[in-house]
Amino acid sequence: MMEIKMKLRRELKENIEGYLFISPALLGVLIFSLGPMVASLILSFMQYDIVTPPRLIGFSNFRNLFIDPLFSKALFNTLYYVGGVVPLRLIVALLAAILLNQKVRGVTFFRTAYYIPSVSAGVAISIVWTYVFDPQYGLMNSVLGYLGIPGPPWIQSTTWAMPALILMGTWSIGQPMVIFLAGLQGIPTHLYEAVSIDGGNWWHKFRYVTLPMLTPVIFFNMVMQIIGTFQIFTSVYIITNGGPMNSTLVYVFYLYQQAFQWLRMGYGSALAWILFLIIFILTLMQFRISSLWVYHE
Amino acid sequence: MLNWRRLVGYILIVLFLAGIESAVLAKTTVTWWTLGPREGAEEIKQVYEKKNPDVTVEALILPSWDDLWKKLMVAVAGGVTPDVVRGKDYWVVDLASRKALLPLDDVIEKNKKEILGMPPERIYTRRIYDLYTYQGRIYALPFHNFWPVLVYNENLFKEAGLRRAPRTFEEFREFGIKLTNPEKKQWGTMLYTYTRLEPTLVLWSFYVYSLQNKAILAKVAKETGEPTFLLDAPESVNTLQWIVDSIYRYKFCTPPEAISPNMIENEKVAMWITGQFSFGGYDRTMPPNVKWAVAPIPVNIDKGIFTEGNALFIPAGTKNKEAAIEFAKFASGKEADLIWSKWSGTMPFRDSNWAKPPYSNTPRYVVSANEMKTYKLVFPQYFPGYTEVMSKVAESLQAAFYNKMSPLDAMKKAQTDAVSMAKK
Repeated sequence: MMEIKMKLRRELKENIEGYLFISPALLGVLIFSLGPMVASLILSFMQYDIVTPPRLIGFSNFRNLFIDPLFSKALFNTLYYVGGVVPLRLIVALLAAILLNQKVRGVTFFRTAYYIPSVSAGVAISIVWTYVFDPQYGLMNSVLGYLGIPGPPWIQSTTWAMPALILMGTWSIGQPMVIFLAGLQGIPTHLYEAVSIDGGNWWHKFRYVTLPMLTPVIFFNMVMQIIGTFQIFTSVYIITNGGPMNSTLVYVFYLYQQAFQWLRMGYGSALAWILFLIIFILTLMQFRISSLWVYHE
Repeated sequence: MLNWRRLVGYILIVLFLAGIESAVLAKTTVTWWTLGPREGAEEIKQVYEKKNPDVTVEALILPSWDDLWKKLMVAVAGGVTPDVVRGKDYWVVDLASRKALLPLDDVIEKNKKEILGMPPERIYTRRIYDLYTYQGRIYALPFHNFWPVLVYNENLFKEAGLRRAPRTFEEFREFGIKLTNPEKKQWGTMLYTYTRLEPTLVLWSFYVYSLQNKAILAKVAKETGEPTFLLDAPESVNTLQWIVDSIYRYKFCTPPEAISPNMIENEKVAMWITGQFSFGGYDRTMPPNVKWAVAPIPVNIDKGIFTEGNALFIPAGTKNKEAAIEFAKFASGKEADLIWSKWSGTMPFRDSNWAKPPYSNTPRYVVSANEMKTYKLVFPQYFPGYTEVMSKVAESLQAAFYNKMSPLDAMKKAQTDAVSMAKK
């Protein structure tokens, strides 16, 4: 009996200690993440302009979303951006990871160099790209000019502004690249040796060993990239401000405009929850489809 | 031997006296939120503190209007507002309609001479107060005002055989065509802005050109503050048509897709209607062959120039009402007007300051002062929700600038959007 009591007391003590250790992080999550999430869910059913008290309006915010032409425009633009950036970024990141996986001199420098855009301030990067895309004096059109190609007006054009943002987004390959690199280093070398013994060349090694063995990493990167790119904001805010003519009005920027520029916190919250649902459903779908193409050992 | 009772007694007396002293010497703190230039805000603060040793001004200088607006909203919601704020003049009615500002009519009535100035200044400043009036009450004091001016490149004018700046909108078009050289990718003019920056800035060009047609975008009922939109009225449509024609028919105005930075400095645009808020950066960025002139004036109707600016207002949640009012009076006054103009490079808004150098003897200021003295002022009409509605209107204007919509369709859409947003 005494032993059981002692054991219970020890367990209780351990539990208390455990909770104390995790309490700073737990409090942070509760106060700064879960709290605002619950608040935004409640606000999505209200009309609230920050200054005057909130007023319950039921599902009006959600109903208004579906008759708001800018909502569909923002959603379409975001899908356009995600559809452009994610495949390009994954391909470029994979190629860069393969190159950086070679045993060559200075590889550590190149790994660092390719990772730098991922840790640089988004605002600073966006400002640099504004100059790169300048139609008359920008680096992009100067290079195109040398090749005899007349450069488009990029961020001033309703047609070219989004491709410009996609190109810029593709540049930031650091995170998926590092994960690919780790994946590549985890592929057993005997598999490549087996291909060599069978007379296979580099393409066979890539097609029949590297790619299948990397599918879990590709899947992980794809899920993370889709979630991340759906929330594109900084470059739009700095470079195009959603223009010209809403051609780069993406979802989170529209949400920001509604909530913080026009002080329609309820509508902004509704937008946020719809975005959460979209991303959630897309992620679920990816997990469902993954069994068809992801190879697990 | 130490007498403990006596010691405690002494300590209590000292503490008591210290308490009295600190209570007597306690300073009132006025918090002032504004934008830069930092030196201007700091000097206004220092001069005021020198004149009022019992007051400390805590000036918080925000990096952008967007930041200031958001910070202010959060402060109002949290009940921890600053005492005085410098804001865009169209914020005033918006905030007043949300009961977030202190009405100042009593203050103005009591300090007529100090705040309104003497005639003719009084006539001019009186008009500004219309901008800050909501449902018959005034909610702000003026801080800074600006009106359009023309910047032109003398070299390009000479090359085109032109000896002076255009004086009317008809001349503006005629000169613009002469100054355009498609081979050199050089245009006669460009709009103030096309798409980036703040959406309401897109309206600047529209307002400037609207004077030709006497177009009014909205009429606001004095009693209720409710707007009646006139966006699809022939005057408004004709104004937009004039702008679109300058881009696509007469081709003397840069199309939006050909815009690049520093077009004036790089001699890609020969003349540009900007505001005198550009004076500040002028000396640093413009080549010496770039000159200032009075903006084109319509000849067929009342000669007017468009003006807007910044206001000083006091949030209703201020904890130091009296001190806030006193500081706002000073910051809106003649002395602060001169300090601010010195650092920002713009024209003082009080015309009694124009007689002093450099405003009396520097060409760009003289040009600007003459413009203001000669022509009738035309103010935009502000109403609750102005920024949001006008941002939507700006979208339609942009659609026409980009030739994606005819001016008539663009203004019809703007009207529909504005009416539906106002209803919301």
